[in-house]
Amino acid sequence: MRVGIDVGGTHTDAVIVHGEQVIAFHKVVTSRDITGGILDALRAVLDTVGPERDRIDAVMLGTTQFTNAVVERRQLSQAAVIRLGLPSGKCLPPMVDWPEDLAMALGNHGYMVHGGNEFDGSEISPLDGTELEKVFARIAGTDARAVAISSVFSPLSPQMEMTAARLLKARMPEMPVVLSHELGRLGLLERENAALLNASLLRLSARVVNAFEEALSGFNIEAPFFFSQNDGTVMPSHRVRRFPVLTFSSGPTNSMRGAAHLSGINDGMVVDVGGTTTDVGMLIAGFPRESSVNVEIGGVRSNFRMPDVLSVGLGGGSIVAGNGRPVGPRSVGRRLGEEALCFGGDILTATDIAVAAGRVELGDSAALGEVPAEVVDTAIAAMQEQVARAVEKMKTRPAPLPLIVVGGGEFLVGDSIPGISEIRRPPHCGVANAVGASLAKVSGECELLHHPGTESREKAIARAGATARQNALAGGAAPDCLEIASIDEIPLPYMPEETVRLRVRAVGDLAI
Amino acid sequence: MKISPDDMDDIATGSSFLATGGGGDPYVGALIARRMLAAYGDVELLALDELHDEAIVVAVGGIGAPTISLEKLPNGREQEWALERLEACAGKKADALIAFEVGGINSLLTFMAAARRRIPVLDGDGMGRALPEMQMTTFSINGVNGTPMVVVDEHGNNAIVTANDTAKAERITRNIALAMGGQCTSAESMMTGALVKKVSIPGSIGFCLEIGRSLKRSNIDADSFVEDLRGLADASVYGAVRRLLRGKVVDVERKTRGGFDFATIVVEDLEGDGGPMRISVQNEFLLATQDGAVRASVPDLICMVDSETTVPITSDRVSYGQRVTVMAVGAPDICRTAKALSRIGPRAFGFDVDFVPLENLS
Repeated sequence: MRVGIDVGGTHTDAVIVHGEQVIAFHKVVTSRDITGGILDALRAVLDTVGPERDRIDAVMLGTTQFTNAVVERRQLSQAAVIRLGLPSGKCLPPMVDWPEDLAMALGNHGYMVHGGNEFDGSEISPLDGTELEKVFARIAGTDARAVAISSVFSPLSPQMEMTAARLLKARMPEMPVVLSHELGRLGLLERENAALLNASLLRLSARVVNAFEEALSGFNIEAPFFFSQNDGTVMPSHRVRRFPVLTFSSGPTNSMRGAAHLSGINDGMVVDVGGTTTDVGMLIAGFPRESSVNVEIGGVRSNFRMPDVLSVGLGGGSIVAGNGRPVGPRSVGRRLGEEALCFGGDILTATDIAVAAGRVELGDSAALGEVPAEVVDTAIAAMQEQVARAVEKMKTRPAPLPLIVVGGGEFLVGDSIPGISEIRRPPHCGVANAVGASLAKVSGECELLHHPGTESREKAIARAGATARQNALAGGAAPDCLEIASIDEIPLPYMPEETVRLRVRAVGDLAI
Repeated sequence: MKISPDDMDDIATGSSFLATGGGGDPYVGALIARRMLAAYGDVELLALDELHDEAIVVAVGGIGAPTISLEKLPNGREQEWALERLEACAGKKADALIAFEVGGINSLLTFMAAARRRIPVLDGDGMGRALPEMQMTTFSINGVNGTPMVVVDEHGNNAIVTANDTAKAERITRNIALAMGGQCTSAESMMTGALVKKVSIPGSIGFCLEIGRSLKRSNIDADSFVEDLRGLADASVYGAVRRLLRGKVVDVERKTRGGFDFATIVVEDLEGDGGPMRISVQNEFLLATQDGAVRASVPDLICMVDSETTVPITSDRVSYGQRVTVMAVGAPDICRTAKALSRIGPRAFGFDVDFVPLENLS
């Protein structure tokens, strides 16, 4: 049995899955401190299964805490970044394209020194120990609580980042260090951004992991626990301590993976209605279509593998204007249970409209007696238009496709949408995200530059595949079912020597 | 016309469209160009006919693999160093700069150098699109020897190349680029104003800027963009505009050989009843065929945008399942002369077809 928990902006959902079956589920309002809500949801599902809880093999947690911290600029520590690469990149210092408030939140500690490698492994400039020592001394005088180190072409030549980290450790043994090659792909600014954001999240990740560890032992659960990553796979808790940024955007991925699992539909559209927003995406072979553009997190460009999801400001907590239009984007969020009319509050929300229209039974419908019928009709039409427009935008095939509606606010979606062959609301669709979190897959990746003139394609793929497999095993994959899930070959044009950027990804089931 | 930092993003988008699949990701180029203009001031975009015949003009740009600069970022002073070295070598100062290639990052690099030197950029270029080699510029095709040329790296290391013709210079500099880490920056083709006017494609930078502005309009979709493009092309030296296909990428075969990304992209027709379109790629989209007939061929421009987002698609980012709109733009007449076609026509790239202008094709 596996436990899946997904923390959203409004609700925290938990499920227990046995084989393919959901045997317990519970939804609570996300608590201000996040952890409290997780515990409440977990306690409820554990109570449902009773003594069976001893058979829990693993606990999977999908959380938005780290994304929210960056988006809201809260709970971030100050962090410094040292880039090894001068004289290259001099005109584009670290954080060059960041929103100013976020750079300020991190203390604006960007440094550039000599170093870095060429694509063929030779040095751009040698690392200069004296120059580095000066930077260390300056960092020591700041409030930076962690240091990120980036170096040109470090995904191919990681040694220089490692040397710089060793020198830093000798000078500041207690300072946590994040190396960019451990996090990202080629693309220096994007990888450096990820490393620096990660450094600023380390204190929060220690708090989050410790709190969850204590909570599980409080429930006498000794099973290992894992965190959802943005690509639909999971990583062990000791890795999330070091790499919290890898959890970014795991929520939409979990919902879409859960929708596919619950409905048995692997190709179709998914609409996930939450408390504040509705996410619309497209499933291809059971996984969300990957975004082909560089995704921004909190205004910072990244090159993570992200699901291509369109988010619109419509959810159960969306505030409805007096005459019924517009609905959202402002939302009462997690105060829905107190502020919606049907729950005794005094704000007209999208949930109230659905109750008044008889789409769902929630709270006290008598409290809605004073909402005029034409306001209900107008609001229903407004919501329907928003969903239809988003589906139309994300759907990239002309032929009708099935649509899976999931999320706590699924009742906001009507029964007919243009271009959709059928609308499915599978059992447990309200907790699809937690189901998605419980589908534990583990992945490992390797990226290298391959020169077909000196090494055969097969050999290079085998070499990259072996590293990808090792990385997946290190992440907790079971060795027997590990498969190479994708091989991407991108030729580097305009080079005299044939050069191919090769990226291999291995995916397997979690060893439990 | 004054070009401001905000225009850099539009030029980046437009140049990505005119790169016909080549040129790489313009992100880093746009970021630097925007900062340079913000620091050193707006740059004058000068129409070719406003230039004095005696003025000295130099072409600047990058040579090698643009992908490298997403990892090894430029120092930012490369163009300036290359230009200074060329000026010292020739004993003449540049009065204005010209992009040798409007497609891709090279249009942006020209503005960076011009901002630092506070001299104008000419509204024109030597390709009207992107093409892989120096001898494919209208400068070279019309008899201009691009050398002496100077290439530099991010340290300021440099080489002066003097060659009998531009094709030889191309071979030499490509290997220097490799020694400099896969890419380098060049200053080349020093010309007088009178000569530049004869051998350039007028108005191409302005065309690029307007394409970028149209593509970035908030409510733009692929079809209304084609309408905008028709209007812009009508007012320029470019020829007809054709919307070839709206479809889905169903196959991508790739192979790199001698510095070229060879690929064939197969796009399934999603609205008409035509067969799949095959687009042959050598860094750029060069030939489009459908049902055994040529629909467009180099030097006419074959361009692709994402049908959903209208973002121009580069050949290294084409992937299975993408929804794309393929369109073609007739090349300016200077690219279609017999002399030009011998270097940049379909046969020059190894295709066994003669060039037929887009407006004569069905």
